[in-house]
Amino acid sequence: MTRTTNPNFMAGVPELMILRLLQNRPMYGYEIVEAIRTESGDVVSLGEGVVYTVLHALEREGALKSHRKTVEGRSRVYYTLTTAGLKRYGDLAQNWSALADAIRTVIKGGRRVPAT
Amino acid sequence: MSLPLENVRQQLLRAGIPPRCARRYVTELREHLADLTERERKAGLNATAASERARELLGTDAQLTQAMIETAPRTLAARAPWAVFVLLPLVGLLAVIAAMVEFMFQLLNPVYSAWPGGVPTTYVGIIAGASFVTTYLLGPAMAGACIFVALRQRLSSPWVCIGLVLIALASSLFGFHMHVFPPLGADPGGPKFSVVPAVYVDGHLSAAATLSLVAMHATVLFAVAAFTLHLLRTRATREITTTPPQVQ
Repeated sequence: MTRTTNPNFMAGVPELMILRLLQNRPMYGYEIVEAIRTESGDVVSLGEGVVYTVLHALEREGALKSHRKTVEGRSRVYYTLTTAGLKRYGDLAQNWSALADAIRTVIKGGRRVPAT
Repeated sequence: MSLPLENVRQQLLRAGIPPRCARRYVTELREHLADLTERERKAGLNATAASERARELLGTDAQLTQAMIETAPRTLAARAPWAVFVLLPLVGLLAVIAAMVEFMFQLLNPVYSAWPGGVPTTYVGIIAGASFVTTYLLGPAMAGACIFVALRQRLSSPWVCIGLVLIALASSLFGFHMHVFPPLGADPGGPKFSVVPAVYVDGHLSAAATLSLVAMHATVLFAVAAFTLHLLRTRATREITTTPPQVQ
């Protein structure tokens, strides 16, 4: 059985969640996938292997830095948020909050437009 | 035995993903796979079932490859093979010859000053060495570099072969050749450079090599380069297809 991931409208969400999680502390790929699943209450589920393409893209853009570290005998690549990444998170979070508010308003019935 | 996900790495290289990116991606995937396997074992599965389940969770080879291909940059050799396998070696070849001419010219004045009566044999030896390098070593070195890049990035572009043909031709046609005419006191004459057909004939440099000699030189160089490329490519393919993936 293959785990189903979220469809295309989730584009940008993994990036946002990764940046948010890395604000707390440096993390490695497996840890990030687990944290996203736990913190989103299993609503957001990243493809296990796909997280690395997002991480690498963010690193290329300067939003993240990586370093290899051995912890408990296991060598892993840890990702850290940069200043540029922090700013990017701020912009993304603002956009998503505005979008979520707009969707919530529409779901509740939308703003009442006066009849003409 | 090949490591897990080796197939993904090979597919990424063939798609033009830089070898360093492909290696790092696959290394992290292997570490992730080990973590997933460990989690599944702790959840109560036996070793084989945990390994299979972890591999399913990670995604299929096609999914993992596609995800990387959609986001990662391509190497210059994949984006513009004509530049890497044709333009770059030809420009490099001519640049080395030009640098050799410039170097020898700069060296000539101090040599004239130090030995006004004639050119020392060491300098003549340097001239011969420079000629030998440009005529016989530069071409194979350029061809070797092309083969290395093509194999490292699993490229099978026709530009690789076109490049090898042109390198063979250019390195056979162009070389560095220099005459110095003593005595320097009365009539220094000066150095003569030629960047024209230059091949050894009976141990002496001939600035007017015949077309057949140039053709023979080019043919030998191309044949050796093409055979080496074919041999190494076949060996690499055999290694990948005959080794079953290692089960974690």
